[in-house]
Formats: sequence, structure tokens, C-alpha cells
Amino acid sequence: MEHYNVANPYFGVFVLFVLTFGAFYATTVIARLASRALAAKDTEKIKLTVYECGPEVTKQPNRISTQFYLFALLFLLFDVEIVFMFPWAIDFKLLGWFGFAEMMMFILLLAIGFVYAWKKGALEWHNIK
Amino acid sequence: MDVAFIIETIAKIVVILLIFSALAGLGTYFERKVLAFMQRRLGPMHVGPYGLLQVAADGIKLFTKEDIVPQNVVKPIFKIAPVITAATAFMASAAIPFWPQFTAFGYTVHPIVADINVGILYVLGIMAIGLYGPLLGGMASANKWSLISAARSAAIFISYEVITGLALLAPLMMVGSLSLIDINNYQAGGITHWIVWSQPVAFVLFWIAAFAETGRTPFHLVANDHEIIDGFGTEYSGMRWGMFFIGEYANMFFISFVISIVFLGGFGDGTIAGAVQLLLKVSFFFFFFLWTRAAWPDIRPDQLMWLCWKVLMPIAVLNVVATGIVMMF
Amino acid sequence: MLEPIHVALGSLNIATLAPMLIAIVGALSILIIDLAKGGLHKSLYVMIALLFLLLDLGALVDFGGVFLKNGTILGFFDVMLMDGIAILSQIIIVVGSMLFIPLALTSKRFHEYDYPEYFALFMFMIAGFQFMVATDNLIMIFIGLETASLALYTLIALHNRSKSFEAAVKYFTMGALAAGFYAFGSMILYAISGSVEINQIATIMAEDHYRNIGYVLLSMAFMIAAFGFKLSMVPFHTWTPDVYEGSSAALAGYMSIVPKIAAFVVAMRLFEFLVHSGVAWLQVILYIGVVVTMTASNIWALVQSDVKRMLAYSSISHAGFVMAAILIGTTQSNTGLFLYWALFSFTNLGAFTMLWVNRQKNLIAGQSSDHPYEKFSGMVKTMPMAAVMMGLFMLSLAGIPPFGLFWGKMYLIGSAVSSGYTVLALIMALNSAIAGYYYLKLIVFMFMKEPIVGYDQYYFMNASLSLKTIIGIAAVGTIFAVFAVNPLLKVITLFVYNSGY
Repeated sequence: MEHYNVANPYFGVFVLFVLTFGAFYATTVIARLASRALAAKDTEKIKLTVYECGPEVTKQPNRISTQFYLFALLFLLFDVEIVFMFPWAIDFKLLGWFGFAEMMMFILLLAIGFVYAWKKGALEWHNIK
Repeated sequence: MDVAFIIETIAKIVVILLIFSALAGLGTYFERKVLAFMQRRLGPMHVGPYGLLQVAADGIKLFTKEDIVPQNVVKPIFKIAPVITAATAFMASAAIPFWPQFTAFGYTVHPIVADINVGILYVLGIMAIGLYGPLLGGMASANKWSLISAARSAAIFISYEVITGLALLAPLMMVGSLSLIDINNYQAGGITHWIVWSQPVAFVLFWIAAFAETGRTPFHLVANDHEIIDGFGTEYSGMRWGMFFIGEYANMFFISFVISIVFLGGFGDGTIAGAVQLLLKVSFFFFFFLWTRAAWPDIRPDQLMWLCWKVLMPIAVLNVVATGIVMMF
Repeated sequence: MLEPIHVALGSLNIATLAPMLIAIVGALSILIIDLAKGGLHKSLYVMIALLFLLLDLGALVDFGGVFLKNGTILGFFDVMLMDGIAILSQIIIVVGSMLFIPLALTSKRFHEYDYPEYFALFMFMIAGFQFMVATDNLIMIFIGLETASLALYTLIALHNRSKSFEAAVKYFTMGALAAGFYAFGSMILYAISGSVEINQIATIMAEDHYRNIGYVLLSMAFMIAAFGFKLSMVPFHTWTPDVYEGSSAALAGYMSIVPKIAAFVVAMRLFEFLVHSGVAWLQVILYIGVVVTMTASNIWALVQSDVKRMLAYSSISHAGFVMAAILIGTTQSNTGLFLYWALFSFTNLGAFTMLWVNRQKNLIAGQSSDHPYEKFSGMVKTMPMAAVMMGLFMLSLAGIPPFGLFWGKMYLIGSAVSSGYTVLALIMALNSAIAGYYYLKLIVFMFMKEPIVGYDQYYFMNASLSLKTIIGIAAVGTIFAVFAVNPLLKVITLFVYNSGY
């Protein structure tokens, strides 16, 4: 298959963006209208409460364990490194020995950080030293 | 821009939307059938021949359910979250070549929505945006199961994002381009040129990560029924809940396409036979998703993180280093 | 197909990275030692940090020699820029750090020093500051700034008291905002000039005769906000007293010196070419900023009841004073900036170390903050030597001859007069007089009041040999500045002049 040359390759992405969001939003609207017309309605008030068993319903404070933030940090660290590595990988054959040595150095530093995070228990689930 | 290009693009998008929406619906049917046969059951049988119309019945049911927005939820976010999941899943398809180019009525059609030069990066990026669906939906639901599920889906997505990226680096080093068309052409020489032979490790890593990216068993912790009800979907009902499903199944199809194109030669040299092969490969990977669900239990969150950070990631980095060394000498 | 790229190693000039690399290697080796064998005493890490800082200083002095012989050294595709002001400021940074790090060897146990990461972060921070000053690439400045700032936020929080968490979070949120401003400012500069190197931006803007002056001013508004925050210029100073109060006294002293000199150097690179090309708006804004910073913070300092907060406001005032040098923008004033800051680092670090020495773990009944003036009352009767030392630093900060800062102030005011800023010089002199009041207030407390029972046990609570040594060094630097000023001035002028500022 060949590439086809157009002035605006991202035009398709834009149209797709508009159409998918439009189509799926329209679907929810249609579903709402259909259910208004057709669905069996029930005025039972408890139906609208939070789906839980037993306890009195209170407002959810939306707090989550700090553990998740730690993984967010790890992600930031390693994914940003990978973003640096993508252009390098694409131009790997052009960059030659210079690029190779540079990236090996980079990965070495990354590895030190990785070993550090491992030893400190940052990669464990609920077990930080 | 000429009018023909605009019409062609819109036509392609409409075709993709229709086909894959239908496939996503049928996917649920396939899933139930496959699971049923693996468990020596029959699965849906009553609606239509072999239960084929079950999909339509499900659709009608979803459309006509009462539209419930529970109390305490953040309404606008609650309503937009499923749309994000479904829409981003389909947006990811823009850079995937579904079929070799063909000529119809003297007009050459390229069955790819947007021939952009960062193809695979775009696909991964948009799939990552898909995370916002479960995340926002879970956080807006004001339900603790939803919240746990939202946090988990964020943790799993972003952890395995690292694996996907690292696993793809090695093939990209060999191909030297991010465009899925170039990657396909690189392997056009037949089965011996497939990247899977030179990059088996990357293939397996990417395949494993694909399960996490689509949130399928054994990494189905985002909606692990026995502990967090239906996760981010707990408070949803009707078509809004159905959107999450459409997004999930569409994602499964598209990631199957990506694996087939990147590692297993795609449609090869572009003949009809190659194109049919691509569809067979995609079907196999889709079937494998279902097979795994039938054969494997879900794993625990700590095992999931252990697998990601302590096993897969070092292997992926070593794979990149090894590829570099082999290519330099 | 494109041709493979060959980069000659010689053209990279890897040596330009040496000073930062030494700091980074130091940080990494601290981490690795901790991984290999945990639970080692903090003195080992202090010594490792000192050793690498010494190597760093050696590399910088070597660079100084090369600079004087061959001129500015470029490296790494012209990203690294080792000119006179880069070398000078790095020397101030490294020496300031060397004076700071022994302050970890206190006699009392503090939470932060149990972590080897404290020292590793510290070394990373120094590397960040060094990267920040040794480049004129806006992106590199940003990376250096962020490396250093993020490490610094953590260092503050590691002090492990509720006030330090408050301080760290406050500093972090404000710092994130400032970083955002910086990014916006550099984005606009890049948009109008197509380059991220300050000297090229200056050339390009001069070539098209400041056609996009509106955008230049917009970007400068962002930049002034960003650096106003880093230098704690009024009205971006609000974080300073709280953050200084929350962090340990030693770190507060460090924060009043090292981050600011780095920010001064970048501000110098960025603002001076605009001031010189007659962008009147920027001149006016800087003028107002300098005057307001000096005056307002002096007045706030007058009403403080806590010595540490008083010193925080006084350091804001000093920063405003020195910012005047950038407004004036002559070689003489820039020389004055470095001279002032070199002398200021000794004096201010000494003053903050005196606070560090009498740091108490728990507040006694009726005590409102860590270091109220009452704590020092009658100090001369119980601890005459310490009182004399503290008095010495206060006199020097107030600019009383012949102590250190007097010479810096004199030189800066002189440079203002000689380039025609007579009113500014007058304001600077007046402010020094106001400042004298609150410094003398502490001296009055120490020398003329009766001791308050309960406080005297804390005077030397935290002292150890290394803390006393640092105070001694600071005192020597302050007293004998009179002999050092002339040779120092000669060297600084040589460096500043040769790098074209």
C-alpha cells in the first residue's frame, strides 16, 4: 500500500472527531427520548440513591489512596522517558553510534532510577518502606 | 482540498462507524457464544436463528430502559463520560489501514481515514485518552465502587502504557517510521518478513499490554464484579452503560488490527488474499481475548502491578537495548 | 534516504558539562551507597556531598582560568554557555552550598537528615541551578529551574512539621504558577523570533526593530511575574515569609541566597538586552518593582515579632536592592550585583545559622513562634560570644562600615549615581537607613534587656562543632571583607566585562 499525498492528512482525524462525538452524543439523546416515551417509569425514590447495600447514603468525598498517586508519578517518570525514546527509535539508523551511545547512557540513568524505586518499595502495592 | 477527498473521507468514516458499531454489538454475541461453548452450554438460542437476533433485542432493551441519573452525581460529567469512551475508541481507528488500496469505478480508494506520519503514536495516544471515560465516569458517580474502579483503571492504563510504548520501540527501530502503512510495507515480503520472528519478545509484551489497555480478563480489575460491582459502570443504565461496552469492544477490534499489522505482517503485499489474511489474524486475536476470558481467572491488583513494573518493564527495556546492540553490529 | 549523522565528539565540548555532571554523579553515588548499605550516619553523606562540591568548585575555577584566556566556552550544540557570569554565579552557588551542607551536622536529631535522599536531592538541586545559569537556552533554563525547584520543595517538606508541609505546598503551588508564567513567556518569545536562545532572540528582535513590541511586552510581563516570584519581588513575595518560617533556619538561609543568584543571572541575560535597547515600559516596570520591593518589605520587616520572619522580609528587601543593578544595567552595576551577593551570602548565612543554632524542638508556654525577639533578650549576659556574633551579622546586614555588606551597598549606590539614576540612589540609601532600625532592634534586645528565664537553655541547644565552624567562617568573611573587597572586585569586573554585561 502506498501513502497518498494530501494537503491536510489530519483532516480525516478532525472529521472523525466531530462525527464520533456527534454520533454517540446523538445516540444518548435518542436513547433518552426513547426511554421517555417507552420506558416503564417508577417514582420510587430509593431508586435514585447510590448503589450500595445497607449503610445510610452519604455524599462521596472522592478521596482515593495515595498509592495511586505514586503510580501516577512513576508513570510520569517512565513515560516521559519513553516519549524521548520514540524520536530516537525512528531515526535510529540515521543517528549512528552517537545516538546509540547517547541512548545507552540515558537508559543507564533510567536503570539507576528504576533500581532505586524498586529497592525503596515504590513498585509495591501498599508496601512503602 | 478538493471535494472528492472530503466526500471520500466522510464516506470512509461513516462506513467505519457503521461496521464497527455493528461488530461491537456482534462482539457481545460472539463473546457469549464462545464462553458458552467453552463451558459446554449453548448460550443465547431463543431470539432468532442460533440466537443471532439477541444483539438486536439487547439494543432495543438498552434504548427503552428508564433513563436514570442518580442523586449526588456530577451531571454533565456523568453524561459525557460514556460518550468519551465510545468516541475515542473509534477515533483511534483513523490511522489504521483496514484493507489494501483498491480501485472501484476508476477511483483509487485508500481504506485509511487519515494517512498521518505518526500513525501508531496517534493510535496509542487516542487510546490513552479513552482512559478519561472510566475515570470521569467513576469519579462523577459519587459511588465508592465507581471511585475505586476509576482509580484502578487509571493506574492500570498508565502502567501498561509504559509497556506498550517500550514494546513498540524495538519494531520501530527496525522500521524507522511510525506510520502503520510503512510498518505493513516493511513486512510485505511474506511470512518470513514478519516482525514477530525478529521481535518475539516485543510481540508478547505488546499482546499482554493489549489486555490491560482494553481492560479485558485477566486484567479486568476495573469492573471486577465480585468486589466492586460493575466498577465505573455501577451507576449507569440504559444506553449510557451500553456506550462503555461499544467502546470496549471497538477497542478490542482496533487493538487486534494494530497487533496484526505491526507484528504479523498486516495485509502483506496488498492482494485480496493478504487482506483476507489480515481479517483472519484480527479474528484470531479477537477470539483470543474471549478464550482468555474463559480460561483465566482475574488476577489481583498487586499481582498486576508486580507483573507490569517488575517483570514486563525490565524485559521491555532489555529488549530495546538488545535490539539496538544487534542492529549496531 | 537521509544520510547518517556523524557528530564529532570534539565539537560537543563535553567538558562544559563537567561541573553539573560532578554534582549529579555525587547525588547518584549517595543514592547508590544508600541502596548498597542503608542506615549509615549522616556525617558520611555530608562528607560525600562536600567532596563532590569541592570537585565541582575545582572544575569551575579551572573554567575560570580557561575563560580568562580564551573567552566564552560553548558546548553541546551551543546549549551550554560558560561565560563569566555563569562561572561567577556557579562559584557563588557552590560555595554557598558548601557552607550550607555542614549545617546538617547538628547535635540534635532532625527528621530530614535521616534520609540520604535529602543529600541526593540537594546535589540534584545544585546541578539544576548550575544548568540554569550556564545556558542562554530558554528550554534549558526551564529544565534547570524545575529540577532545582522540585528538589527544593521536597527539601522543605522533609523537615516534617506541619508548618513545613504548609510551606512546601505553598511554595509548590506558587512555584508551579511561576513556572507556567515562564513557559508562557518563553513561548511568546519563541513565537516572535523563532529561536529559544536569548542572544539570537536579541539579534532577531534588533534586526526587525522591535516590530512585535506588543508581544515582547506581553512576554516580558510573564517573565517578570515568573522571576518576580523566584526573586520574591513585591507583589510576588507573599510566599516568602511563610516558606522561610516553615523550613529549617539553615535551609531558609540557603533559599535566600542560592536560588536567587541563579534567578538574578537569568534575569540579567533576559532583561538587560531589552533595557539597553530602550524598551521604556520594561524600564518603568522594573524601576517601580525595585523601589516598591525595597521600601514595602522594609516597612513590613519593621513590624515583625519573629526574627526569622524579619530576616525573610529583609532578604526580600536585599533582593530588591540588587535588582536595581539589573535595571541600571552597566558593567559597574552588574559587578556590584555579584560583589553584593558574594558578601551577602556570608552574612545572611551566618545570621540564619545563628537561628539554626538555637532551634528548639518544642515551643515553651507563651511562645508564639520559633524565634521571637524575646528569645534573644539579654543574650549578652548568658552567651556573650554568640550575642556578639549575631550583632556582627546584624550590623553587616544593616550596612554599617567596615562590615561586609557596606561595601556592596556602597558600590551599588555608586554605580546608580554614576549612570544617572540619582533618585534611585537616594531611595536605596534611604532604605538602608530604614533597614538599620529593625536590625538594631535585635541588637537592643540582645545587649540592653534582661534575660527571660526559660529561653536561655536554648541559646546553644543545637550547636555542634561544624555549626560553630560555619559561623566562624561567616564571621571571618564578614569582618575581613574590607580586605577582600578590592581583589574580589577586580576579578569580578574582569569576568563580567569579558562576558559582555
